[in-house]
Amino acid sequence: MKRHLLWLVIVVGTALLQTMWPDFLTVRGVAPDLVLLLVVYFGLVDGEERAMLTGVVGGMYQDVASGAVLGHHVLCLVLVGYTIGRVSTRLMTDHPAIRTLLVLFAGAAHGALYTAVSYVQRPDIATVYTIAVIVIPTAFYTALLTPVVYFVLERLFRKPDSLSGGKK
Amino acid sequence: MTFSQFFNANRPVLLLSFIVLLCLMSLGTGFESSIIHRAVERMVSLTAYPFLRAGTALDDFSNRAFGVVFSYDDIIAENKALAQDVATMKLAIAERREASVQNRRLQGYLGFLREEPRLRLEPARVIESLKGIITIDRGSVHGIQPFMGVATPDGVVGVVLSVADFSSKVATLHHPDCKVGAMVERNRLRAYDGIIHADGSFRQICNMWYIDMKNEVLPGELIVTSPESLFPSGYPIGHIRSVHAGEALLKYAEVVPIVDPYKLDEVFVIMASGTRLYDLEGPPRIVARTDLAPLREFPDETPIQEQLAP
Repeated sequence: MKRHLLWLVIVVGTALLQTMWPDFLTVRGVAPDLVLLLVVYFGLVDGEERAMLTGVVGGMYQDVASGAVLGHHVLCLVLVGYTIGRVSTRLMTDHPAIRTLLVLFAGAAHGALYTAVSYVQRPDIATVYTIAVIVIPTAFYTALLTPVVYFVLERLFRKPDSLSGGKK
Repeated sequence: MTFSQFFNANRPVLLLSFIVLLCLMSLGTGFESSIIHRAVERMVSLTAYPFLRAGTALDDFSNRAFGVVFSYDDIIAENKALAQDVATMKLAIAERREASVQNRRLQGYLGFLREEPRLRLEPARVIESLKGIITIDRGSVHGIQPFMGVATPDGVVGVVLSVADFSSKVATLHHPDCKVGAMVERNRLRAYDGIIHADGSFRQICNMWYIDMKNEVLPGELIVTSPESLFPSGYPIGHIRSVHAGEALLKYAEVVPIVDPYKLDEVFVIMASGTRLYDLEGPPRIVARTDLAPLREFPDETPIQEQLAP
């Protein structure tokens, strides 16, 4: 229960940080996608269900804050979370470099999906430009933050080691 | 396979399908302004509110804390300057209030001068007040002489006692050396000696001695200067506080002076006076006063048979 509550607080807090203070950690107009970082993390650690729920909560906040149609961010994050959750069962994802790479691919996929949905809604947007100028830099920037953020999350959500009898 | 087993086995896929379906429906119908959107927005706002408040408070606190640390000298200097400004402003306000009071007082004096054109009045400033004697800044070089009357628009102050070149001492109605011819305004009744004596005690009253027991004198009545006095007749002196039985068939009245000499800033010395209209008019008509206690004749000369008759 405590873990669920902590998860909710972390997700809501991160979504608030991302939506209420968009300039937070922004460098040259590019901001990291912290909610995506959480989705990938929970997908790797807890599986696709927790990743999808994280995507629903965080995406909803982002949709409401950005004034987009409800479901835009949610759909992209849920799909990414499900995919990561499935991939984590087939990959050794404990190494930070692999996690960083996963976040990079997830960021790119999420950006591409988001741009694709936007294109369906409004075909007049410059998709290639958006992907080149916003999606790729954002994915890189988010991937750069992965070791730091995951280190903190590991501290918060560390599971008891089964071989040590539950002792940390 | 039951539904429960199927659901547990395919829960992630079912959950994904459900969420994706909802998202597609929302995207397809444009739920931007729907009830759900507003509800979600409200929920998000409610959730975000405490965080926003906390963020704002933290921001304010940090700004204040950093401001105090980094601009400590400026704040101290500003504080000193403000304290100096406050002191200057308080002084200015006090001066302004004093000027306003003085203005009102001088306007009253001006009105007094206009009302008494037949009097030659010398305005004087009170420079000392001690034990019933006040010192004024006018002396012999200004034409002041002993026994001249001193008054204010409110009434009699006293009599000039001694004169120096540039100052004079005035015995007020609180000093035993001050004696002023007085009468009761209502019926022009004088005492046998015709004057009012200052008591000279800390009680700060005057006495009107030697009043005939038969004469009507009541507490609250106004005592004014008589035509025999140094002052023009009819100037207010004070009010009778109480009447007491004296020696033999006489009684005396205690009079509270109208003017308090310890609250004076300026006075007028009466250099010369003409005849007041009051003197030409003679005694005022006696009007029955309903606010006074009924007078008892004394001694009662009515025969006892008449008094006890049915």
